[in-house]
Amino acid sequence: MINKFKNQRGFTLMEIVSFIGLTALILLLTYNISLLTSRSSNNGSVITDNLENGKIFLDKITTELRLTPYVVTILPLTGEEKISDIIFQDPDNLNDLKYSRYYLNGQKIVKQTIVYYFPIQPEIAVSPNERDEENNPPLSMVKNEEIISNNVLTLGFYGAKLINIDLKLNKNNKITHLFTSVFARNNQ
Amino acid sequence: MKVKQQGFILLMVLVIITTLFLIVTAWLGSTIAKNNLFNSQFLSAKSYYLAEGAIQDALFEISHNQDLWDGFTTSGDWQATFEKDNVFSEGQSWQVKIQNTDLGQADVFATSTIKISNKNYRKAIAAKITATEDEERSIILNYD
Repeated sequence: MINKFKNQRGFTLMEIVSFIGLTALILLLTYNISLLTSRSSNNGSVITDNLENGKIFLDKITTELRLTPYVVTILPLTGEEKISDIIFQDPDNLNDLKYSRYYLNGQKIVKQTIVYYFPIQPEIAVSPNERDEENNPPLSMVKNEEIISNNVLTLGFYGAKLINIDLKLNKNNKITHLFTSVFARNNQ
Repeated sequence: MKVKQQGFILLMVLVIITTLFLIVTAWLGSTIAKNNLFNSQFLSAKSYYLAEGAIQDALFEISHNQDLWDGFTTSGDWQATFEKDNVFSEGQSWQVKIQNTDLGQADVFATSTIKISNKNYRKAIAAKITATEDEERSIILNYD
């Protein structure tokens, strides 16, 4: 029996060192790949979030701007002077004279539904260009307010009949930059 | 009977290392594919809005240029191409081809290109446009 154990060899130092080295290499490789996977997955979810936020806003505003009969805000002509606020007549509520305002509030794009009126007849909605007998402009009242997009870094509108929209979204320092143009063809 | 077992451990180690290598390669491949998918999603959205803006720009040009409007509304085989480079930022360009199918009716093909580190990412969208019969120049746009 004793002779049987004596005949069995253990591991040589070389074998043990090789085993430890290989195991360490595999563990290091696995750790690095796992880190890469997690980083890539996070980046992907950030890009998806940014895109969702951007798409919701751009799809909504481009559809409305194409059909609006009147853009109230006078937009700057060049991108250097772009502004982050636009008011135009809501094309879905033409008879009610409702106006949509999109603006950047912190990191959120907010849409307000606005009605203009004169204090003497608050129940009658008027155009923002109308004036009362004393040449005063109408007052405005916010009828509804909703958040359209989050994580917005900058929002810019510029251009005359061809309205350019420049949108930058930022989540976890990952910036997504989207642009588009809209021809407000019904704009008077 | 005594079987010589020397070399068995080496064989096992080789099998394990090969299996691990295959798993790690597949894992890495999947990560890279996922990463490419996210980038492609982003570029797809970015180029879509660029191409959509291109069509809007072309419609604006047709509505505001008498020659273009006359060609669009009075010639059955009228065609025009609009191109712009460095739109909004460097490396972004678009091209819009408009081909009349009838008087005041045309097929529109817009292609946007985004250049990122010597690679071009392209997106094409098609639409149909129709001139309205109003006194004012107005065009109805329908995406295919």
